[in-house]
Amino acid sequence: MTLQPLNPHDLVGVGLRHPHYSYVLENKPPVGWFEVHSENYFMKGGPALQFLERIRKEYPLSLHGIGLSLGSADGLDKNHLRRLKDLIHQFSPFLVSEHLSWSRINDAYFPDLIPVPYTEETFTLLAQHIDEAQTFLGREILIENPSSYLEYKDSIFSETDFLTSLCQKTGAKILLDINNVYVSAFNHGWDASAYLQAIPAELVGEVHLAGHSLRTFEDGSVLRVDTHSSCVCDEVWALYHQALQQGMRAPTLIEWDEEIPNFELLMQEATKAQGYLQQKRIAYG
Amino acid sequence: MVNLRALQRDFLESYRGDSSFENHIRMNGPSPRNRLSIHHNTIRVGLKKALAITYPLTWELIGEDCANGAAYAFLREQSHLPKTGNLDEWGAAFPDFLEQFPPTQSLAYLSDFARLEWLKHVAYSAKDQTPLSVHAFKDMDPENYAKLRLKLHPSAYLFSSSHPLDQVLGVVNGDVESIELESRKSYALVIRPLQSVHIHWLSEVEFAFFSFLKKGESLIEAIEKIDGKQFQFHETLSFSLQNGLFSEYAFTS
Repeated sequence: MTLQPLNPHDLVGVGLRHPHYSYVLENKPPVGWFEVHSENYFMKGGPALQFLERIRKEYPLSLHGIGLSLGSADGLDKNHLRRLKDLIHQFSPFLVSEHLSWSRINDAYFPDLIPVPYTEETFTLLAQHIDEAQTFLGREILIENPSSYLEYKDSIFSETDFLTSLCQKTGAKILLDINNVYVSAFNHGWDASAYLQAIPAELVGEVHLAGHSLRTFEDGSVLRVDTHSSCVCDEVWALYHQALQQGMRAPTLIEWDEEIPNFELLMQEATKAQGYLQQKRIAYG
Repeated sequence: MVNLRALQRDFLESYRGDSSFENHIRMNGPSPRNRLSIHHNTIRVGLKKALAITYPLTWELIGEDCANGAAYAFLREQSHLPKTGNLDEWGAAFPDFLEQFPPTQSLAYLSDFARLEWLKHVAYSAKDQTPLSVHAFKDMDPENYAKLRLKLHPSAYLFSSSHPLDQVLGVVNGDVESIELESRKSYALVIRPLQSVHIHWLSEVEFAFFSFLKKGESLIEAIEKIDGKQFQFHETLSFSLQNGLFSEYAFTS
């Protein structure tokens, strides 16, 4: 039996990582859905794919890409797109997402989500690439706002204007990572609350929540780094509350990728997010 | 205004130590160099971790500090960076690098041990196929054996080394106390018929037999090409079926 969300906007999911495969299959935790990194399942066969097939029989699934490099000046990797399409065919995910970033140039791929300058040139290029990806995959994709550590001198648009316009032009949806909003806002002196206010609620198709860490340099300067290695901080919960107040009632994911804790802690975070969603439902009547 | 391709090439150069990319970064609090270092660090640590996941036995064998040092040295060369976003297929060049890397050069067996581990990694994610069992041959007319062409399982890889890799693996697993620096070859068949990857240590003649089968030779052709005196056909066939070495069979015309 495949579970279908009764109300997909009120479901909280958890990022599924290798250490929790067996726990999930044995305990069937009451999670709304799971999200995996698409590239971790690009192989031809083997136990990881077999685990995911078994988990998919019990839960809705979202595929979150980290390697398509939508912002690459070299164009999209057609082989990567083909493999993603095969994976979509195999697992029928209810969401497919990627990032507003680039990772590949001159046949060199960096396992990182590097921001693009927000210029007319990159807007045109990203719109083409998103359009190409959606046409090839035959479905809508979601684009996640990045955690950024640097801004470009050449940027002429704000990140919110750039991302919103891009999604309006291409028909893509926004994957709003609220931890990324908080991290980038701290790193660049933006107003995180104003960032959320600038995002139209109807464009948000998914929300991510995660933890991050602080990096202090020898000169005393500090940057927040999106490490996904801790609980969601209070400030990010407050921003999530604001997002719900703005009507962003989208499937919400708890992400944790480093120093992965036992599954119970992820469930606590998911339950907390569900609590925020239920409060809103009561408030709306 | 710099174009996107030039900016991305500058980032690539920055990974190799050039500072031009910093000129694209808006000054605002933390220095451009510190801001850029977050990305460089994410890339290096991420790729080092990917290698450590692919080569856990090699990490165990030479120790974490040495292995991490080798990984970071490996990553300094642009030619060693991944070419695509599928990191599962990246890292095959690491054993060749270990052969040339001065701190590990004296460990003559190390690069072959890492090559064997790469095959273990590849076998883990190979195409799934149900192995042939002994029942597949139960009703077969023995006269057809001569025409039989057996296909090795898609996850099966053969590897030979001038070094006793079985001993090296024994040391890593804690079964053997030390590696004798004897000049002895070893022959391995790496395979994942179901969930787990296995390494089977073969004799020279068994290795030759499976190598001919892997090339597509029929059973009789493979037997004719090897040293028959050394070869135990029934034992080898029984071992093969018990361990899921074959996935398909056909008859030659």
